[in-house]
Amino acid sequence: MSSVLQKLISPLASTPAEPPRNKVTVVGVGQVGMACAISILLRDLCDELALVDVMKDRLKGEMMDLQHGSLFLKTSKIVADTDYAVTANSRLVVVTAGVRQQEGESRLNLVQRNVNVFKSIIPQIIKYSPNCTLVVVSNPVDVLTYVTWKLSGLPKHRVIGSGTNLDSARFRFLMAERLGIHASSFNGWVLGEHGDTSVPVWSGANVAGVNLQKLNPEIGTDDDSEQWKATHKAVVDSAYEVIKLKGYTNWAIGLSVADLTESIIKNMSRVHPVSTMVKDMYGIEEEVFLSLPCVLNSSGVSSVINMTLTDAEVGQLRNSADTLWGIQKDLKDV
Amino acid sequence: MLITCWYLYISARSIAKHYLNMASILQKLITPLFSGPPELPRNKVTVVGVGQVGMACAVSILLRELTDELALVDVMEDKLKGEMMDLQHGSLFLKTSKIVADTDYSVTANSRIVVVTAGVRQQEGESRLNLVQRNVNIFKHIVPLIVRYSPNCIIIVVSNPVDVLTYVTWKLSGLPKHRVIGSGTNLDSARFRFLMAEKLGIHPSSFNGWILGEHGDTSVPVWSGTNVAGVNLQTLNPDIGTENDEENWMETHKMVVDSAYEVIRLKGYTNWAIGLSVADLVESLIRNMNRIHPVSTMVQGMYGISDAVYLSLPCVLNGGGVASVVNMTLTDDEVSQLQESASTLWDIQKDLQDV
Repeated sequence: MSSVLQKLISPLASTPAEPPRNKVTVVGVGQVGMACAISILLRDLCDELALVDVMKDRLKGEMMDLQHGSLFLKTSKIVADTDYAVTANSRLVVVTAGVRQQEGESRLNLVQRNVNVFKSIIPQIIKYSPNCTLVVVSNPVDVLTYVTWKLSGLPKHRVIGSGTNLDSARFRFLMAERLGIHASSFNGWVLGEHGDTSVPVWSGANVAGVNLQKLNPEIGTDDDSEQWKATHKAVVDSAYEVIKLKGYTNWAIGLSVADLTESIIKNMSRVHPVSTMVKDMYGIEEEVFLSLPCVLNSSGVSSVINMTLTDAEVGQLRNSADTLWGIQKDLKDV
Repeated sequence: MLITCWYLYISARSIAKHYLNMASILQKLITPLFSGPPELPRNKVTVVGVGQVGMACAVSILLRELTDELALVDVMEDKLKGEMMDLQHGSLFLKTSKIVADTDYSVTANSRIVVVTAGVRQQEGESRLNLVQRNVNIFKHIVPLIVRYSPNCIIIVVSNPVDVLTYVTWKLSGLPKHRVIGSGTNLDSARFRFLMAEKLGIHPSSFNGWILGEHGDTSVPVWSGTNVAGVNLQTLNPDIGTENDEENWMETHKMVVDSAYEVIRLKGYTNWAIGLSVADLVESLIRNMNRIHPVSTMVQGMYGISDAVYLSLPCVLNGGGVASVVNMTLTDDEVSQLQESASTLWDIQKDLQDV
């Protein structure tokens, strides 16, 4: 008695199932991880999505909920497990695991809590996907990207921190709003530390190539009558503001991670402000990760754009590097 | 004296500088060509309720680039503002240039589509029908406001129990029945197609199967219509969906019914699948596509149903709403299941206050 399947469908070739070509793993199924997952799915970026977490029920529930949407998606395989074997053969692994910022807590205060979590996660990721590219999202992202790099043993071009990709997106949105244009038509970069001491590169801010600092030489300074500096301050305060209002942030970071994923998976060589190893640049002598404009493609960070920064901006980057190294040197077991 | 002169000089210099540079960056950078009132949105979507379901609908709609303006409404001011800001911060990556939110419904004006997700959610183990009166009271406040600001909109009701609440929305809105749609069994059918397709090793979009009737425990899988590439499964296995079926295909439908309870048990709520399915409906409506979806519509007069109830049938959706309904060839048993659902729903509806 043959089954419906046997009557309906005749296999042509009984070869083993093809391994995935564009598999993405998301580690951590909290609000940020799931926002990354849904953004990646809705942008049709991967042929297989794997989710990992320690909370078994939540993990299974999230996987089922996504699978139930399969009719509307182009990602035919969505899997999840607490065992990292499910992540094997990933091209890209997005790490959102760890504890989140509490209201009023600065990112740097999260550090040791998250380092301990990473010590159990990173070696497992590498074990099953030795050739992957890692995108670290958990905060404090610059320190944790350094930690990930050390724990993974991967070359530095394969470990990226989401860094100031989100800060720059917020900056471009807020600046563009003031000018009545779309965020994508405003060019502006926020570099350095993702956090309170991020550096808005006012000298590069432009619309259609028209440099804003030429129109207003005081832009970004305290003397500026238009107070453009307040816009960068709003970027720094953004996360705290949204956390205060709704308890966490997830949509913007999810969309920004999908944007990075697209450049890497599609080998696009687009330039993004992401956290990379900056030792020996701008006079920085320590092994720290800070955000600079990086060319992203299938190999990860293939190159870095050399910015023309003012002395003050270089000084700010060096200060961030010192602050980060101050934290990193005291970390245990990295 | 010298110091006074110096100070006079400095202030004169800064006043001069101020006057010379009075034009802002905006004025120097951008010259308006046209100063009329801003264009009205053409494809505005409002989502009422910024809980997990509402936000999943919102982000799915944004990522599918369906709307030129998205409005969010809720009663919780801080949460609402936080969600709006979080979406706005992603604007660089989106093609929806206006995202607004307010507790005041005037922010929803001129919407083409309003997705209603407001209300209280199913608790673990609670059946959808038990939510009813709680949500009716909320809708009495919401629906008239929606219609006041968007009198020509199409309303998609998602809140549970969806069939009853779509009826309630229709009555409270005064809109014609083709403009009030319940998300209905669109999600059940999507889950059914996913689970069936998994068993057959194909993509859900290649498995055709419809679940109709009540979104909930008594939904009706139309086994007689299930097919792949036109090959009818019931023809291959006449026992399909019955107790006698050796392959126990009816188990798959049972899994569909249990799905929501299972996911709620595991993660506390469901949101992604319903969000994706709502975006799918919005796409058909906004793009005037005439695609057929199983959604909840007013079925009085069909299949021997005499009560004014909403149940899911295959509906042709386009820019006007529900343009038409497909007449299914159902077995007597399937028809009586629909009739039973209709009676169950009418029993609840007839006792509702102020509808």
